[in-house]
Amino acid sequence: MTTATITPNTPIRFTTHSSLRRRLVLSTLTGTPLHISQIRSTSLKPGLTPYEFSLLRLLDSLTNGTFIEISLTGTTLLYKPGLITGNNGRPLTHTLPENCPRGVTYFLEVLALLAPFSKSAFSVTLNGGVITSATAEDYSVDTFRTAVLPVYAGFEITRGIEVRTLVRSSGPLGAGEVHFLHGHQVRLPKTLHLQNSGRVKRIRGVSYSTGVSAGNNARMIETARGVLNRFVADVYVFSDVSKAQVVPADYGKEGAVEKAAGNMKGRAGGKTKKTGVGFGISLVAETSLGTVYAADAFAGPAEAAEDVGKRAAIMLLEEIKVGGVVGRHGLMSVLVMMMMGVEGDVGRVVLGKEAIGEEFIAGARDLKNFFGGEVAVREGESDSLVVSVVGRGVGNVGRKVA
Amino acid sequence: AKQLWMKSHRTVNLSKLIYDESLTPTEVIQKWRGEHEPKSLEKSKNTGDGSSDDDEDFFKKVEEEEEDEDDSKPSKKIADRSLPIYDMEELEKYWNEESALEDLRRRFITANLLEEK
Repeated sequence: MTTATITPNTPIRFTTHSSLRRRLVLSTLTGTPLHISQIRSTSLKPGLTPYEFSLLRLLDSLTNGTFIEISLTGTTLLYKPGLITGNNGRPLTHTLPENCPRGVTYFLEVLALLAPFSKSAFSVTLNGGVITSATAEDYSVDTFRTAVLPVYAGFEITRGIEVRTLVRSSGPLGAGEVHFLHGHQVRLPKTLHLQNSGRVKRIRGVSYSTGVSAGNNARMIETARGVLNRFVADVYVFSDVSKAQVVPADYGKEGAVEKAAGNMKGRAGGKTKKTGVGFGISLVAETSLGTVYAADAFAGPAEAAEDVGKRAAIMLLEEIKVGGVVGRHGLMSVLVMMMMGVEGDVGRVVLGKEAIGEEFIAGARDLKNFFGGEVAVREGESDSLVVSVVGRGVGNVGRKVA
Repeated sequence: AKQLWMKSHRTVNLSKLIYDESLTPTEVIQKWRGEHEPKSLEKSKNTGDGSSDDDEDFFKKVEEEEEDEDDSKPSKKIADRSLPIYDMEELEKYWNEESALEDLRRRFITANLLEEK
């Protein structure tokens, strides 16, 4: 504990915007200053993107004493994290930029990692350009709720956690609303010892349509079941149908918010359009020992519902084949949580070989930079790897006295 | 025995490779999976000789980086993705085969454990 909690004054330096989100989270958790330069420095649109700014603002409102300095061009960022206070337990509403291309889980993942180490409970409402469906890069809010949050249950973080999808919306211009509640704050998380993933016993899922016919749901579910039913009969996919959102006609255009100056009704001369139209499916396989695998598919342009359902089912099979005691979707969270754990406690998880990708390597390096600890990898049984992580005892700085 | 040795060799390699800062994460994975060498061989075969080769490489690299800066490009792999990248064509081909599906059955509770062993 003593070594880990001494905050060095010299920031850790990185270049480019890759893994910016993970680095910000690790920086906040460990209290280590962060300096990132050359953020999209050769791009036509240099510097941080609006959604990255939004993430920084969100981090700022959830912490106390955070210092952020961004260069004029936005290509250099200095981030000195403060204490995670969770807005002192008060509800917080955070508005995402209207043209946010990332799914809302981009932000929810950050919240889920920070919340256990907050001084008081999290209650965050995200609105504005919220995309609740899956995007090309982020999974849907349903997968987050049914597959990512259970990952934290392995660390005995279970109480008072809720994700409410108040308004559903699909991309590319979302207008949804999600409420994130997290009432289980811990001093130090327990580490994990998982050697066996068990066998898949049931498959659950949510199919969602916003602004399109509910028949799409039925069609997606039918094809997905067609693939999966031969393995387990216990396949149940919920169907969620909602309307498209009605927004001003200039919604998501650059500068439209500033022009309107808070006057939502008079925007774009009162003209409106529909946004967030689309459909998709989230599938989650659960094993007898509580491991979850998840897959997400969202309809591309003019893609048939059958294809989307089939795609999701095949992705799920692939995830099951990759295996491991944690699905790929929760891998980084698990590693971070194990590192945060009691100093000297060794946690082990068994992963499928194919689960080790560039993300894992980059993540392990980032973990070393921030925590000073390495992950050890050794050969397990039948094409698997045992990853062991020694806890660094960073824990919750706001709860020194348990 | 050779295969066994290969296997253990590979994993030892991985734990060393992870923190080898001279390699990018992509290179680590390629090396670990044993995809690295054939690729570099191909490259040297395809490209010409000497200095012009270097020049070509140099220009190529910049091009790639430029592409990397563009968020919409799929090549931008390490930038904060949550979803894994799937090669759908490959997957569909793989999962259309009966043997692949039967192989996966042992990962479900419906598998017949008595028959297996």
